[in-house]
Amino acid sequence: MAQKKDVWQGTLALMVLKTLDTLGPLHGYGIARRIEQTSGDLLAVNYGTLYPALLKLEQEGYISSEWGVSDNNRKAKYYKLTRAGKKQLEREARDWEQTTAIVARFLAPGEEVS
Amino acid sequence: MRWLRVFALRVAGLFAKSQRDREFAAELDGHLQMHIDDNLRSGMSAQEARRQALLKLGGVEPIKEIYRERRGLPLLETVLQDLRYAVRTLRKNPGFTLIAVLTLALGIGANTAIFSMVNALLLHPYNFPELDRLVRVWENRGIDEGADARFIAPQDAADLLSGAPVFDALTTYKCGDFNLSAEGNVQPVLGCHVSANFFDVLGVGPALGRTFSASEEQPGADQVAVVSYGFWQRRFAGDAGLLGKTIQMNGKKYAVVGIMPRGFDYPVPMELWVPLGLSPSEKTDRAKLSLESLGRA
Repeated sequence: MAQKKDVWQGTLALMVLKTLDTLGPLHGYGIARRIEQTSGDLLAVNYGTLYPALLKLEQEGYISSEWGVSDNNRKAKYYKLTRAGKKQLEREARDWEQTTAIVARFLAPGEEVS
Repeated sequence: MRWLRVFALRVAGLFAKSQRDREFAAELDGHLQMHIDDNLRSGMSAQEARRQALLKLGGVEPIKEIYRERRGLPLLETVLQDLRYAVRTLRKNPGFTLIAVLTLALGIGANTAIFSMVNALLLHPYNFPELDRLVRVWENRGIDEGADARFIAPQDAADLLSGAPVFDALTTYKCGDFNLSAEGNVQPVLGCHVSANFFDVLGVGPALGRTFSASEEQPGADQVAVVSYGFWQRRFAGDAGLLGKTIQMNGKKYAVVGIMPRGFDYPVPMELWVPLGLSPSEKTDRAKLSLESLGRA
């Protein structure tokens, strides 16, 4: 089995926000699984980074949390995107697209930069 | 302003720690259980499901530790912890604490005392114009009782200005206690009897009103007073209506004609000045060293 890549710094928040945007309120475990699945199991989410990242997003007001009960009756803390979080997601997604576009342009073969 | 919100929440994170710890432990526990459930559903044995879930979760304590660091303000917490430790240690060694506190107290006290002297004498001397031309003048009759007791006789002072004068101007004054009667009680205030040119020689004008005219040096016309800024603020709350009012001192009424600018309280913190008003016989007195004197060279 190939070594899974850790989620790199800075992109985890974006992935969390996007996950909550797509799936609605979700607990930490669900967010982690979703990120791993979406990556085609190429990424491994480190819980030592995930929970502090969730806490940071909550402190910044981009997500809010609430205790609830999971599908199979487990108590879990559910995270939900706030309005500020939606805006932040748009901003970060735009930044990320810009960054990847720039990197892609550098890696594109044969094109002269004039 | 988002950082402000984050900061406030992290400060709040310093409190109710055990409750927050329990909450996060419960969250992690729920996480683990859900993972086990999923593993069971995918056909693992109960033991294997638990093992795999624990493996994936990793060390719980390190996760909690990282989480705690994000929750509060680790730097502030460390400082507070150090402070608590310092206080405890000091309390355990009262002898050492006493000596340390006394040493600090004496050191700070001595420094403050020295600084206030240096401050007054070297850094902020009187800020009268052309201070280097201002001199105190007194008679030496063989007994010097120190800087606070250097006097001149009225006629001798007058003589210094006649003939070939050494000074452009010379002023004389005499200071002491006044008994100010106000609202039924009597309070002592420090004040001086000064000749009319006192303020001119020092080169300081009033902030409000006027100083004395030469005619007010005559006995009988001398029931006027100039007061210090501090006197005005402390006793009359800075009321501009004080000008022209009369105040009663030593059983006589004085009309307040002027208020000096803030900081002016020469020669020692004085609250008011009234005309010297010497009688003709006092003016020609050469025997008694009754006045202090300032000359402008």
